[in-house]
Amino acid sequence: MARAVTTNRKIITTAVAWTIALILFFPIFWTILTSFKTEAQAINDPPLFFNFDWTLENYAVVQERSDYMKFLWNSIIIAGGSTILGILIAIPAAWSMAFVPSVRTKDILLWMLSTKMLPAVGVLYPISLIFVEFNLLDTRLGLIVVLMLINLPIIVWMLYTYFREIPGEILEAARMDGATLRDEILYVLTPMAVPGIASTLLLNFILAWNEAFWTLNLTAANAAPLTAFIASYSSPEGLFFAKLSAASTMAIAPILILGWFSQKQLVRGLTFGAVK
Amino acid sequence: MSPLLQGALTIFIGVGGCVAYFWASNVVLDKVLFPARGPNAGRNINRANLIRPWLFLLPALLALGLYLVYPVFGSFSRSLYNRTGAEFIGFGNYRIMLGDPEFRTALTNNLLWVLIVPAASTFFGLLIAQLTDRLRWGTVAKSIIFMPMAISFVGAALIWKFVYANNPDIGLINAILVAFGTEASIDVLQIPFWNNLFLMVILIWIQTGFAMVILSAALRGVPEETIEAAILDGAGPARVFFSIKVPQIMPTIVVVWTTITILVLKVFDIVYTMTGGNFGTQILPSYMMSYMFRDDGRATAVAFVIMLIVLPVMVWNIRQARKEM
Repeated sequence: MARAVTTNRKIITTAVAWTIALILFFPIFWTILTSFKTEAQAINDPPLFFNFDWTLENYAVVQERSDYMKFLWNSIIIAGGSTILGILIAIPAAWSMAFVPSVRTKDILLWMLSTKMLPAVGVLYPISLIFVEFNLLDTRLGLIVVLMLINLPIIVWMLYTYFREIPGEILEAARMDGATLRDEILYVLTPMAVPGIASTLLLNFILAWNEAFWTLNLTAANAAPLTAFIASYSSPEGLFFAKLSAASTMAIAPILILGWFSQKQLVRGLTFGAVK
Repeated sequence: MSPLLQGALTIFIGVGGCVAYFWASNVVLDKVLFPARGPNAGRNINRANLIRPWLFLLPALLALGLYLVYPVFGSFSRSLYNRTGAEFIGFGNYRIMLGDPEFRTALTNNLLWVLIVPAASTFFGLLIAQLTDRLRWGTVAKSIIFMPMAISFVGAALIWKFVYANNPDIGLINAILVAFGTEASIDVLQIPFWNNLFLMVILIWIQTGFAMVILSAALRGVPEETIEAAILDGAGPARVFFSIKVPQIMPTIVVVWTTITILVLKVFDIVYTMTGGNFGTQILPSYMMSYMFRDDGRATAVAFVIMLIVLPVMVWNIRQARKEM
């Protein structure tokens, strides 16, 4: 039964809620808006809201000056590669734990959880030694591997929680009908888990895309993704605000769109399935 | 080779390698080690099925072992050596670190981050979750509030440069100050002590959406009857919220709180991008990075201290997770 709420209170709550939402959104909104202004309009007093000449020149300048496309491609390759690699390693592992649990399964899962809580700074030095040793510094391959490693626990956990929702009887029935293990995983389990796998892919892609600690420390010019691109604009000297906001907008736009559609996955992944 | 081709090739080799491993190990297990024929077919099938899960887990375990076990020991052993790594100096790096005022600043600041950010994010998240509950267009409002969560920390930091900018025509803070009649513009990131809070605001801004989404789901799960009963007994809205709803969603609040706490202990990007640890805003990870690749002994010593600090929170969190499993 729904409770009766007085109209007045409802209006006030609505107003307050929307005001907070808009205040929180304002920094993003302002950045995007400024990116379409000229430098002079950007620092106009009073600030211009929509009454300015929209221009795309800032975007052209940013692309020309720092080759945005290269960073974008690196981001796509690194985030995509680490996601695909991670999921391939994770599906069999999650299958084992979800359908053939042993007494150790719980411990293994928790151990994986613990690696995700480990601060990356703690392992930067040894990992960078490995990178030097194998000539992986500033290569996409190296970053794909590292980002796969740091997100692997989340992938395994997410898949595990999704697999657990699939009744084991269905797999058993397939086995009874003569399906081999390969058939079972490929034709029964995977199709049933597609929504779960897709969510996991999406989440992991976003996490890898946003990773800055490793990308900043292990890349230079060659393999640097968008996070490095953003960081390169963060030095305060010679700040041109319209160009700076164009750079910010270009850096956050792809992920903003993805993020809008993947709230649930992000939340589920970041709490290790504790919140569904 | 073009970067695109190189990337595709890398992914192809990686994917191929994984598939090949799972396929080949399975074949070896079923056909060579324990073939399902001959006098022991039944026993062999059972044995193969016992081993198979471990075979499938192996790559994941190895990968994480490579990421976790070796580096933790590697970091610790490196921290016992001097700058060049040639001379063993025991806990010398730790001694120097404890005597360094900069380290104490970083430690205090980090403590402030851990105390303030999770509390504030959870509080605001809960507040907004309650406000947007049953709201028309509430989902849109929530999605907007959640947006910062999708942006990387460096991206968020860049956006907040606009809010904090020194120039009153750009910086929101200074624009407000000017509107209230102050003359000179200030750089809020250089005000001692308070600049720490300004940096925390960025992370709170990001994490509020995260807390809100989780808590609003929890709020919706509170049984309607308990609320009805309280209202019938004469409880006002505030009373209902604090005495009925909050106690019932306490476990979720704790999950949110600890998740953000661990995140705060890892955060490095915001300070790095905004101030680089200058003006007294140093936190442990940025303090460590200021020595990294210059004096690795000292850097790894700091790293180890950070891990020690995270450990109790981590253990507590894992205990919680184990209980819920």
